[in-house]
Amino acid sequence: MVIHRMIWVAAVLLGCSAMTGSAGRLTIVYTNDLHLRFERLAAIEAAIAEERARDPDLLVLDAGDAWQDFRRPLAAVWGADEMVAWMNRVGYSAMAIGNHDLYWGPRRLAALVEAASFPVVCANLTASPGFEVPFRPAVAISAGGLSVLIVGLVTDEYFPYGEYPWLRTIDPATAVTAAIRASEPADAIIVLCHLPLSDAATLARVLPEVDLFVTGHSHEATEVPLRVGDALLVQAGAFGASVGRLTADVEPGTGRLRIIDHQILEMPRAPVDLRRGARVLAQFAAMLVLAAMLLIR
Amino acid sequence: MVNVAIAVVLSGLIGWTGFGLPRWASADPAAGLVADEPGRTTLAAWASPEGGGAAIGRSVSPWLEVIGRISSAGDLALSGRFQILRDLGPLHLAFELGTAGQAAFGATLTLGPVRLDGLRRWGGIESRSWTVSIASAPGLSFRFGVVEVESCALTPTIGVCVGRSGFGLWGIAATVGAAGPGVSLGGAW
Repeated sequence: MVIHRMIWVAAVLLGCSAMTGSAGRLTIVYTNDLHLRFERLAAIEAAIAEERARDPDLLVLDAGDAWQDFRRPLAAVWGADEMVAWMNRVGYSAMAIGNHDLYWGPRRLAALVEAASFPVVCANLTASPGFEVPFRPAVAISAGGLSVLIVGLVTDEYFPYGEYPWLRTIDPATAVTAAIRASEPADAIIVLCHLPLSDAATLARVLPEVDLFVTGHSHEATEVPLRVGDALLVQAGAFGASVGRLTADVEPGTGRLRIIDHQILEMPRAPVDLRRGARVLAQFAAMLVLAAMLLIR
Repeated sequence: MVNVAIAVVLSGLIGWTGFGLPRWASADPAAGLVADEPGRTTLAAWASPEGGGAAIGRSVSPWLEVIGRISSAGDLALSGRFQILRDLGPLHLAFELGTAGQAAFGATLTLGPVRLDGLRRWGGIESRSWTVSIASAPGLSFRFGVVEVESCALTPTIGVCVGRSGFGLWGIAATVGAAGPGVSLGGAW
């Protein structure tokens, strides 16, 4: 009799769990617009390591513009390779291409993507016949017992059209829909996009199947994730000054995310040794002066 | 006065087609870059009230492009265009040497949607140009700058290039100067 009662109680508890429970839990650390800010990388690396010690299935995502910045002469000339090596070491799960990342030009970009041990995603750029893009539209990742589809998008604002005349842009909503259709069904769909929050909100209204938009480009920080329909929208500021951490339960069947915890974590600066970069910068300056002399004298 | 008129007309044409061929679409050349994909062929033709010409280029290695040119006066020239520096950050440098004794040096700074080009030619018509190109949309770029031909005064130049990604890798560029318009057409395959 006691055993029967225990079995009954267990069955009721399991039933309740199935009704209200989750398919699994996702923890995501996200960055965007790092723009080669090496002075913040030690802190970000430590934060990711700490989080990964808590959850080995941690997803680490970057929403683009990690590899270039014209606002700093050194970063415009040097540092992309070092940044890719750092992202490899830290264990990024995926990165979206940003418009600044494209500024390196087709050859350097292809080399950087090749050097990355993580997938680089972008669904709304395709190549004309005879050309190839170095990135893929989407990637399926397994995390926390869940299958997660990550689709990339990039803004067309400040786009280097002259460097890539063979690239064609696709409407982002169409690109995401096509990428989802071309992929296996997933427990959760994340759009990792180098798009401002406002653009992502517009997309969220027409893409109800997307559960999370990790955004960038506009350098905004979402202290509280925005919700548009069933989708969450987040962004972590810029220049590595902060990173975002989201823990959410994934609703079975729908993929809807129920926030357990979300924080924007401040990342302190640390001194960095840029002597190697300074050497390349000196070389660049010397060649620039030489070219100017040949052109002007 | 004639020199100035020629300078004004050439100012546009040199900016678009005067130095080898562009990396992809010949109507919008980058002075410091060669076609870096071996086997790619580029074609350009240009016309103005002063005459015209055509050029065909073939990339034989990522660092060398061979170019043949013919002018409306019937002059033929063959030249090799060498990439002497590529991807030092945004800086690219190229040098061209021709069978008729002509030579050119070009520098390009690629700054995302903005590109700065500097070009100097020796032998034949000597010239120097500095231009800024702004790619504002797929298949549309604007270029403006100054050109000096045969030690004449610096002449402003302004132009627009349409096509490129909108029409495969073909494009058409037009420039306007005091002495008349210039037009160039180019593509790659």
